[in-house]
Amino acid sequence: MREQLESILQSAQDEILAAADMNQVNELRVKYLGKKGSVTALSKAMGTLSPQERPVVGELLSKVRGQVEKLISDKLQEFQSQLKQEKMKQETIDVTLNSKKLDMGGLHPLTKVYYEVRDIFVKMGFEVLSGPEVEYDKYNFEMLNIPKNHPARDMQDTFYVTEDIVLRTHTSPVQVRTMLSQKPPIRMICPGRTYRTDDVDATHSPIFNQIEGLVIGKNITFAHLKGTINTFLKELYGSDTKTKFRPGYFPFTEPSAEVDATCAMCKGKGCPACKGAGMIEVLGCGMVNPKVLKNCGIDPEEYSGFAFGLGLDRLTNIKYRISDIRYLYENDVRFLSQFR
Amino acid sequence: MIAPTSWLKDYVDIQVDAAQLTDKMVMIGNGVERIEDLAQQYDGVVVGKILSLTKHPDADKLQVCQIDVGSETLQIVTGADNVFEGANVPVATVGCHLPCGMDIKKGKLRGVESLGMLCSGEELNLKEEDYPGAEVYGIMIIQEDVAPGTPLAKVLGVDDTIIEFEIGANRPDCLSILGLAREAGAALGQEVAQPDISFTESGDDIHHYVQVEVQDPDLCPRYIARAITDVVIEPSPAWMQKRLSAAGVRPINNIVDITNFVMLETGQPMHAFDLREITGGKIVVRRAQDGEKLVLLDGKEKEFTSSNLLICDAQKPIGVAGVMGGQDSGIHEDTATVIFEAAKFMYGNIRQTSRALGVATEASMRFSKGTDAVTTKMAMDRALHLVQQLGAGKIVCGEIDVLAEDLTPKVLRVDPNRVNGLIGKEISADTMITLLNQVGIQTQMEEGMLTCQIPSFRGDIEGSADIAEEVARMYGYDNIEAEVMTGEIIGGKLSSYDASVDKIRSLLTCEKYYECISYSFTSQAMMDKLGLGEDDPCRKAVEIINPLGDDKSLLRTTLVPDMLNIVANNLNKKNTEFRLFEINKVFVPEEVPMKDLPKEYPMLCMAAVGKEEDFFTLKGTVEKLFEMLKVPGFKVKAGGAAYFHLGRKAQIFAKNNVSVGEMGEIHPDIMKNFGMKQRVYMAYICLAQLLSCIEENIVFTALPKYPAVDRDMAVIVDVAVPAGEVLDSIIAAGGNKLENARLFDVYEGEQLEAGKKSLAYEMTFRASDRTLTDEEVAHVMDKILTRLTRDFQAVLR
Repeated sequence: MREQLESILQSAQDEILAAADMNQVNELRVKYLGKKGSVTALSKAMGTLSPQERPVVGELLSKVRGQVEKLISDKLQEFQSQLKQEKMKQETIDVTLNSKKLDMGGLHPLTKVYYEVRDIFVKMGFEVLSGPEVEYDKYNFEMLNIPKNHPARDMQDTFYVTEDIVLRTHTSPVQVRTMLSQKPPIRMICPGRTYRTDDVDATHSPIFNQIEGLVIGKNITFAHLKGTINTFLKELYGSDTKTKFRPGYFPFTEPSAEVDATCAMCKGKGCPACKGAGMIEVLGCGMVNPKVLKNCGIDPEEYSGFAFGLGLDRLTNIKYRISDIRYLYENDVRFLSQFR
Repeated sequence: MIAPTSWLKDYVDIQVDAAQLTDKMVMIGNGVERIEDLAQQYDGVVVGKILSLTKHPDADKLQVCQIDVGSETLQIVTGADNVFEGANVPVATVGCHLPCGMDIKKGKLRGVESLGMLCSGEELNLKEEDYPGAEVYGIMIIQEDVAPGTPLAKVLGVDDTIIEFEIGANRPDCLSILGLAREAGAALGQEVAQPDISFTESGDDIHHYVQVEVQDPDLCPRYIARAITDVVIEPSPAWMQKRLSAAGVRPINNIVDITNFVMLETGQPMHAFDLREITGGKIVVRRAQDGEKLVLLDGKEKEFTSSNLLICDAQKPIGVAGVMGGQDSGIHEDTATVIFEAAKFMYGNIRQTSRALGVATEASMRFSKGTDAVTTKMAMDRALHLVQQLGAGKIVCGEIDVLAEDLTPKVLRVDPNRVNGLIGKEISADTMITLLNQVGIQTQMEEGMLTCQIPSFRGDIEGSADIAEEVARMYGYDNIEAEVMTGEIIGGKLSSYDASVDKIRSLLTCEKYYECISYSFTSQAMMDKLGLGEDDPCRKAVEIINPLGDDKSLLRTTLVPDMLNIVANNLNKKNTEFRLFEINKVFVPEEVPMKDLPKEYPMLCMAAVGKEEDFFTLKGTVEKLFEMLKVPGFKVKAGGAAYFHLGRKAQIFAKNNVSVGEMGEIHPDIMKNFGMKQRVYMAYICLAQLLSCIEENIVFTALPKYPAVDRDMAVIVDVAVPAGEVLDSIIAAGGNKLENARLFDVYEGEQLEAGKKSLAYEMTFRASDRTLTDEEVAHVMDKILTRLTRDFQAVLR
């Protein structure tokens, strides 16, 4: 019987390893381990053995059965894994085909640059405020120390809606509104549309965008103004940016300054964008005129502050080297898609 | 203000070149528009002496000259026939760029080499008054006997550099050579000389010639008159003409040139009358009567109101104060007696008159910005000095000076600590005194205060901040170290509106939308184009009094037409598939004409074009917008504005039926108006409404413990029944056991009766405290079906 078992194991091994497919393996399972299989037949014949032989042969029998079972399951697994490979091979795709994403749209370049500027100031503790585009003459001019028929009105050609209502010529009226409605300390910026009676050409637009800034507090000085503007410009244009403060004139600030920064295009070497100067004018600023503080109910003896204003359109054109301001308002998709 | 440096040098010892001077001027606040070396335009143009002239071998009209230009002899071919051997002519040498725009290159004319060009006056942009013979046809012949090779600029006497300064509205005193000389002196630390105002009177008495009556001293605080007899009108001397030309003023005759010269030099405009034109020998300065008229020097008749100030004689107006003289009142060739006027007119009034009449002159520009009454007198004396210097006439004894202004110098007392407090730097009081004196503000310390005597021409200095600015600009902005702000810390933040708009922008850009920005102007014609009715509320718009054109005369009340224009422009440029949005304000007046500010509402307009687009792609984005913003209750109902397609438009609602906007396909008629053929899908949303519906209170709900039961239900209804309303009924009837319901199929066709459709819904039922039994679910399904039958005559399919 032992010899029989060994010869069954040998033939099972040969046949299973030689099986061509899963069906054959399953047939071999029946042939050896099935109800009428040869291993099963031998186990039924166990009864004919002597009590001494029985345990020895029994052990051998279950070992053979185990081995045959393992041979079968290994072979089956081999076929299954082959099948899986086969199937995946058939399912091969060209991974370089187009993805199914929805194309990106994009922000308008003015918005992109506005976000940059805004983020810098928000990080510096500025609140973002807004004000109306159609504004009282009083807020746009008079309370900013530009009375009716003041020569400074010639600096800003104004659209009038009534004698006392204008399209704001700058975002500075929001300074007035803020000071009238909030108590110091104030740190705010205000972006917005502004209007002047300029005909449209490559460098002029009757509608443009400014960002106004205002800081009011105790012991605020011109040195703080310089510190704030320098920090802003270094954040915007890079830490190696240099600035130049030149005395300037705005009726609502005193002292006033115009600020040049290292040309972002040429890093100060001189290029067409800065007309060879290496520096480019970027903003106007100054200490809030005490008359304006007084007009807005803030005591100039107790508080001081500074204000600044920058032209977003100009900043945008410089940043992206846009040659003609009209592109900004034509909204040609071929233009817009360049700023994704 | 154009300042020839030679003129500035009359008053300040300028040892630096123009570039260095402008740098220093800029750093104390005098902006520079341009610097121009007047000689530079003639670079490369030299005097040449014609040695010989021969006929061109192959061209009848050309001559070949050998010409001595100093360093060499050049062969130049010319077509001119007014040249001769021995003549001195301007020669443009190879490589030079002429004022007329021509570049001179080496060339051959009909085979003969030519190394330059002989120039006409025209090619050099010269007029007869620049050089006699400049306007003669042909080559300009140089009369002077100068060495060949001499630069033409030297022959013309052009050796000046002009600097054009940008003058702020606060510094009208710098609209003058003297004002700029004072600034240059301050910038360079140099003394500034005073102009010579000496003259000798010749007898007689001005009161024999003219009387002056100022009826409105509030508009004319000072009026000075002087008389000059024995006047001979002739051209002014070359030096004066050259100065005027360099400063951009055309020379006319000696008397007029003196008034202009004095205006440029001192900033005080002057006027010269011919005594014969002053009827009754009396000058009256008064407000005009309404409707009074006068023909001005420019030949145009103007009508006045009582807010205009006139200069009149005993009978009639002869000039508009500070703006322009009358046609007949000026200087004539035979004028023998002149009355000079130097006056101060109030800036606000002159500005108003100049604007109202649409007349702006060098004089009105200066008066509009403000002149000072002390300079008025100095300017008159300077003019008289020049009359004497030029021998233009005899100065009659005495002056008439009608003065209504207190000329006592203003004194400001300023605490130096306050100056430092504004600047943020410890500058000593001594330094401040030095700096202030340097800009002409006589300052000393009295009881710890800076005591500053403000010059009459510095009307801009009114308080301590102005003194701080003078100190700061002279100290140098560069020398004030930047400091980081200290003090109370304030958190930077965005308004919730801005934060929401940021989210909208970011969602839309991810949804393939490009952001647009368009102008706020519109017109009634644009609203016609959009097909808006006569009484559409959008027609009531803010009107601009002085628009740039009829098409830009209103502020927009809707973003839709601008978006359609943008879409049309893109289609015209062959952009065929795109999505666009704009977030901007519309302006709604409460009443027209307006009494108060209009309401300003931020709106969102979205447009989608292309073969992949339809109503539902757009609806998808709008719905996502609601989800992202946490606006609950997104719902649409068929309907909307007339500019949408009749059957493809919807009103958009948020929770509680809050209407937030509309969407749809654009009506074919409107498409035609905008010149488009492709279908355009548009959504137009009121952001204020939308954002007011945000509910961002997220509270956790425990995950379900019991299993859900899924059921489908298909019902047959009339095709006109909106599937969304059926869904609403299902949800209402489903009660709290219905967890979710969704439309998954719509069928119309052969298997159904005509005019009917089948709607199939997928529903999920669940209870939070137990597993639902089949009976319970069946009961709810029955309730739903009953409700649908009642609401829509629905039949189970």
